[in-house]
Amino acid sequence: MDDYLLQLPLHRSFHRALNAILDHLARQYGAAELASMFEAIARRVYAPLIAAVGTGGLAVLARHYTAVIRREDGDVAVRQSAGCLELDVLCDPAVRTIIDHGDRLSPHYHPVAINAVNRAIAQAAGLAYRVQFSEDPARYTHRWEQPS
Amino acid sequence: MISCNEFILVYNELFRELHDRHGPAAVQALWRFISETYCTTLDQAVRDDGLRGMHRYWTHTLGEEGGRYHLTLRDDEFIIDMHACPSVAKLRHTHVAPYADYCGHCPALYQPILERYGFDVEFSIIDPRRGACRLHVRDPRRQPQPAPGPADARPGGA
Repeated sequence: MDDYLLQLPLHRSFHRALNAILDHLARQYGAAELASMFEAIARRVYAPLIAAVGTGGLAVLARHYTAVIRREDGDVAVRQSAGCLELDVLCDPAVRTIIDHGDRLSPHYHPVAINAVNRAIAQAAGLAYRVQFSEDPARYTHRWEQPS
Repeated sequence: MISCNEFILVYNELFRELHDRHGPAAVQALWRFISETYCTTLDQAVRDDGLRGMHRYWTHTLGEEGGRYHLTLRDDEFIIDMHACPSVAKLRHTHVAPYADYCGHCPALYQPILERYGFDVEFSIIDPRRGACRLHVRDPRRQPQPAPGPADARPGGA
């Protein structure tokens, strides 16, 4: 993330707002259109990250997600080998915020806010991407691979 | 993960994406949804405590979000003089160009809630580029009453 954004105070309620917005948009436009909109949004919002990955490789992604997740008191473990990066998100602070507040986690949160957004970033950066979710909604594993 | 500090960028781009794909009415519908469904903390604060509830709500949220602003609370009015909106500042300090009606989301979200409880609301967008605006809420039930005229002042007068 941009250093400027990393240093700002946290207003965690924005996670709850996004969760609610996803439900509204899915009802209005359907799940496929919702995912398509967020893929387009991700390519614009994360354009600097995508460009940085293009020059700095997978290490840039590792630094980005580690910084973002730890800034919000989440937990993450990084495994990097030649051409491959795995990130175990042990506690996603956005998901934790939504659940701890007693909100119903949108069924579109993981497919869109996590999968579609990261898939769009990876595709734009020329990487293969997949995510493995678990029974704990705040815990999952990202995997990025550079094309051989 | 979309971090909470990246949310405003996503929010801004969502307005643009909705506008481009589904027209400006889709953006208005999103704002109406957020106001009616998500802004429940403000709704409850205003319902419970009126002007004091507004002051408490924005003291908390703006305290978290930052920015440069002044809040005024009097018996009959509540005012936010926003000199540098924290949300607009995030857009200005990053690569994302603000959606043309970005500032429109604030009156769309908050004004209906305040009016629901009988308050008069003036929302003035002063300078969207630097995020300057003014929210002026008056309680018509507490406005100073005109001084009684001679007929009203007569003892036993009706």
